[in-house]
Amino acid sequence: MRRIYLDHGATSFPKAPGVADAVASFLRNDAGNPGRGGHRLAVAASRAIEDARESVAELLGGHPERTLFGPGSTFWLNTLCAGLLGPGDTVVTSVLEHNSVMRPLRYLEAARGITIVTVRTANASGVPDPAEVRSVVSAARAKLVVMTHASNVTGAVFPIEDIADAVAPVPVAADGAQTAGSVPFDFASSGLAAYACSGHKGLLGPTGTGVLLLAPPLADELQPLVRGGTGSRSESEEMPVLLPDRLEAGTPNGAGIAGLGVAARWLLARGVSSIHQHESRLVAALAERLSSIPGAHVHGWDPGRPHTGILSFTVDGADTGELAAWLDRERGIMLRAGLHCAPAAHRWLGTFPSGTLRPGLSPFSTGADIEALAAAVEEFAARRRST
Amino acid sequence: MTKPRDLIIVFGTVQRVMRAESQARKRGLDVDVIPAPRSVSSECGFVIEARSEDASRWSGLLQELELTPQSVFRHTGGGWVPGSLETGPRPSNRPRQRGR
Ligand SMILES: Cc1ncc(COP(=O)(O)O)c(C=O)c1O
Repeated sequence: MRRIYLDHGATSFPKAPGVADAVASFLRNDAGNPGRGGHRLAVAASRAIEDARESVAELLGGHPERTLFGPGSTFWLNTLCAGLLGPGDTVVTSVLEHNSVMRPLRYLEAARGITIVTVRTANASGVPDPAEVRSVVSAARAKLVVMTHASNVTGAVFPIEDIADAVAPVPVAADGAQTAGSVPFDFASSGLAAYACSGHKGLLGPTGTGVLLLAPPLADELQPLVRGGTGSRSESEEMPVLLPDRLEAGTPNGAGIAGLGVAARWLLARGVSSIHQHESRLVAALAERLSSIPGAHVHGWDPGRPHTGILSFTVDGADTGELAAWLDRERGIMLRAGLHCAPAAHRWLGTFPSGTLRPGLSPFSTGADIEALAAAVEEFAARRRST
Repeated sequence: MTKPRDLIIVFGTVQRVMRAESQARKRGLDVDVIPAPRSVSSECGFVIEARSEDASRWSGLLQELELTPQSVFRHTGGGWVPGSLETGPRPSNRPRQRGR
């Protein structure tokens, strides 16, 4: 049975060509502790990390000094929320957020008394218009907007640059977990104050890697979530002021970052806009094909809006977990069923608590992959109807 | 070239050191990254080791990269002496001054 991996929304597989070799090569040849000690392996590890930083910064439009490495989107979204919101502050967010935004915000609501205001847009997709965000932000006198760049449930892309423009000078921190590497984006011209993303999804790097891009003045203000050794200013018991050190305490994931650097170079050569075109074309075809199957429903799909390579669907009378398990066991197709760590999004879509099935495509997905999925769903739905 | 490198450029972070090194290499400058010698204080432990004959090219490169060194040292009289990229050895370790 051919194995078809369609869970790129969770993490990409396969990784970009050369990533696994770069990880192995780092571990074999360069695995000193970067910035700690002056011997040649410490220098080699530092070089590998800084090379990767340059590549990732170039890909996403970050300044290398303000392109930070960490374990994932979750870590950086926690850093942003905890570092920027204090007692009495109001934050504005969307109805489609992942729990890596909602859980830190709910925690801060309870622990620090922040106020969370959600933009309940008039759009069925849940994606707010910039003007809607602006009016909520000014009515709430918000200190910060934290918003996803694309829903990890429906794939709908937010007009995040226009939102940043509409609410300026209130800073916007975007969750780029689902867009980095798959939707054309340039941080430098985006107007965003911060952009957090995972290295292991659309960036096609190893798990355990994530990136934060910062713009001034937020870059000068943001305080770390985690404090500790940086290799620099070791005589001081305070964190260094300079970036990236201020926000990168502890030994970094050198092997993962080396792999991420190679992935970024591959993406630069391949071109994110060509990847976006490829995935958009395939996911639109999949949406159309699934919608034509009696009993199958695609949720939150708006053909007039840009999408990532993700969509959500259900089949009447079918438990999402059962269907996902059948697809995996009987047809070799891997995708994720359930709530995708985004209960708020499913409440908005009316698919809470049973959730949806979520295929996620990659640059390596093919028309044959989506046809195999559609044919299998068609077969399952037909059987359901006849029982 | 057998003459040892005789110019040290100090930055506050490893990121800056490595960025300076890789950009200098791309421009064909002879450079290495070494642990800071005893007499040179560096917040991040690493420094750029380069050649004094390239000082003005370094100065141009660092301006282009918007990287301001924390300090510069030249090897003179058997030791590392505070200096700058523009001039020869200087008596004190003052911040670099431009546009003289
Ligand atoms: C929209 C969104 N935000 C944040 C995350 C968290 O990313 P990570 O697990 O890499 O921290 C994910 C991943 O599932 C996501 O889809």
